[in-house]
Amino acid sequence: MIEIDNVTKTYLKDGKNEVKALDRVTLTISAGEFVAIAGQSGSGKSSLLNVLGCLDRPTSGRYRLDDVDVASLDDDALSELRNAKIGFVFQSFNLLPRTTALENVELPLLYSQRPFERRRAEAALDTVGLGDRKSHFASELSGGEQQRVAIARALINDPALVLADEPTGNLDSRAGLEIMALLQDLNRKGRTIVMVTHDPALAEHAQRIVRVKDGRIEGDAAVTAPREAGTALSGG
Amino acid sequence: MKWRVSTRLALRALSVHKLRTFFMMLGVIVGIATLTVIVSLGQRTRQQVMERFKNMVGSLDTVVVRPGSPATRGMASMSDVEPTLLRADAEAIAREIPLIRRVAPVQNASGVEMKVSDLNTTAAVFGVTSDWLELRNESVAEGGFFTASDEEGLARAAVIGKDVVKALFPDGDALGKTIKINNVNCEVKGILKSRGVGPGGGSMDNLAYVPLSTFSRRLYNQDHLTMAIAELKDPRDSDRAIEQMTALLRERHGIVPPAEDDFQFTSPRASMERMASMATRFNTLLTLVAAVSLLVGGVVIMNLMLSSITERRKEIGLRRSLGAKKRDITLQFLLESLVVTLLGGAIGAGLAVGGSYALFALANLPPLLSWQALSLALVCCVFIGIVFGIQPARRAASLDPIEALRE
Repeated sequence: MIEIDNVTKTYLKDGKNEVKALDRVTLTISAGEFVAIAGQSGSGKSSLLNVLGCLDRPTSGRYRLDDVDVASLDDDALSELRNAKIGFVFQSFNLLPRTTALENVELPLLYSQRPFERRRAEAALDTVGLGDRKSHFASELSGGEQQRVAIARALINDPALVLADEPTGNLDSRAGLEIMALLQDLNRKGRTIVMVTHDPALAEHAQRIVRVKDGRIEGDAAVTAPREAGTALSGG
Repeated sequence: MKWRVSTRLALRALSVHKLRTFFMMLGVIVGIATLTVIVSLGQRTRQQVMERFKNMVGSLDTVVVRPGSPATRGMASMSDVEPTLLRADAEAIAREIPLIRRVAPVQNASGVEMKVSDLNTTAAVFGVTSDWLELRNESVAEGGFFTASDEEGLARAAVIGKDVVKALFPDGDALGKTIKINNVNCEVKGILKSRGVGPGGGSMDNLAYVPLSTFSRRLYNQDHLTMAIAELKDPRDSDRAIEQMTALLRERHGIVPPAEDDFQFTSPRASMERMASMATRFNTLLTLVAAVSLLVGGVVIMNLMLSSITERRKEIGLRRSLGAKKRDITLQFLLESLVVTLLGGAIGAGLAVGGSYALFALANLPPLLSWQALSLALVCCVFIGIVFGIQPARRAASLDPIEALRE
């Protein structure tokens, strides 16, 4: 489903020195997986996230998402692809201020080819357990609730891939666990999730951990017994 | 549906910084308010001038022939007019040019002394024919007008305006009395219905009519006319009629090239347009105020939007990550600047119209509200919103989404 084949990404630093952010990375992720991409800052995991999220094109190599060759797309086609296939969840939630939860969730519908249907936004909010917070402004919600709104927004166009970038980084541990429980729950229902994190403990909630260092994949292993955020919550 | 949602989101975005949004609107508010006042007032003045002018000349479908070369300027009066245009000329025009329905020959003088015992006043006096009222669309309030036989008999008869009545007959009872016009006794046969004020704002009731023959034989003993008013059968024939009258009068007056005409033509319609545009010229200063406000308003909008882009970097990155194309971002920011200018414009126009309700209620005038003013305001708002919004919008759209999303 996601095939990254020999992808290299280079940047020009200060206009002259070439920096390899990704160095011949090859990675395959199947539908329904929950993968953590772990690595320290500067390891290249953000660059990998940008390529995976179709925000950036590889300098060389191939990237196929749902049988679409991403490397050959122009800016508009990439935008359409992001809208249809990818749901982003950010560390800082990125909700619009003075805008209700429902309006925030509707935002991707504005850029979709499909007709604007409010009930889909309502259903997405129900999925994340915020059906009763539709008309609250973002500022009236707790951090955990804001991240749930962001997850509902990521789900609204029924994406092939949910990309979560340090989704619990701005939350206290309990709210963080709740968000992890929600992501695990979504994954159990068949959603493909890729989570980027620097936190090894958090990564163990995934079924598979891909370790990135210096722009290369250093390790790729299944987690034998993923942590259950739901159990941790009810247990303590 | 999507436009409605986008507009609501634009309003939400603008509500985050209310003070900034207000400052973005300020120039547009002032500019549009001024513009609305200018256009509405100008229109009203123009309308008023045109109405008064029409009221003064009666029918607009005429051509006025005056003696003197085309370079001659100013209102003609018996004492200073060239003696070139004769009653026979007027009759020839009516007879020989089929485009003309009829011609009214006129002699007139201004500042003529009028007396009743020890009271006296000065007024304009016109020597006219008996069909004058019909041609000019005037009527008498009391009594009647003189007839064709009065004209033939050089009758000592006068029909006077309200101002003359007021000055010479304080008790208001003028009908049948005798007044001295230029030291000639005339009987008041009628009192004209008031015509109010003329296009210049002066009274149009300070005058007297006498039969043309009485004017030329008894009052002044002169035959030449001060003007002849030719009524067109079809108003569209004005230019052709002038051509034919020119040829006829040149022939009758024995004028051969290179000598100039000794007569001139004016068209009331053209004079009216000229007067109306002169009457609205005072608006230049206000127009400048409006233009400067709108320009400053636009520049303020542009700058505040440019500075808000830095602050809304992450929002732009977010929208791009959710699938917004560059064009969508451009449109979003353009929509916001349009919302600002349109809201500002609505407030400005509202202030102008509302203010005029309050002010004109005191003066008992209808308030200013013209759809021309409002549609011009709308066009200005859209124009400013686009012209000054496009650069910030383009800049927002050109942000690299990865850069924009960076923590």
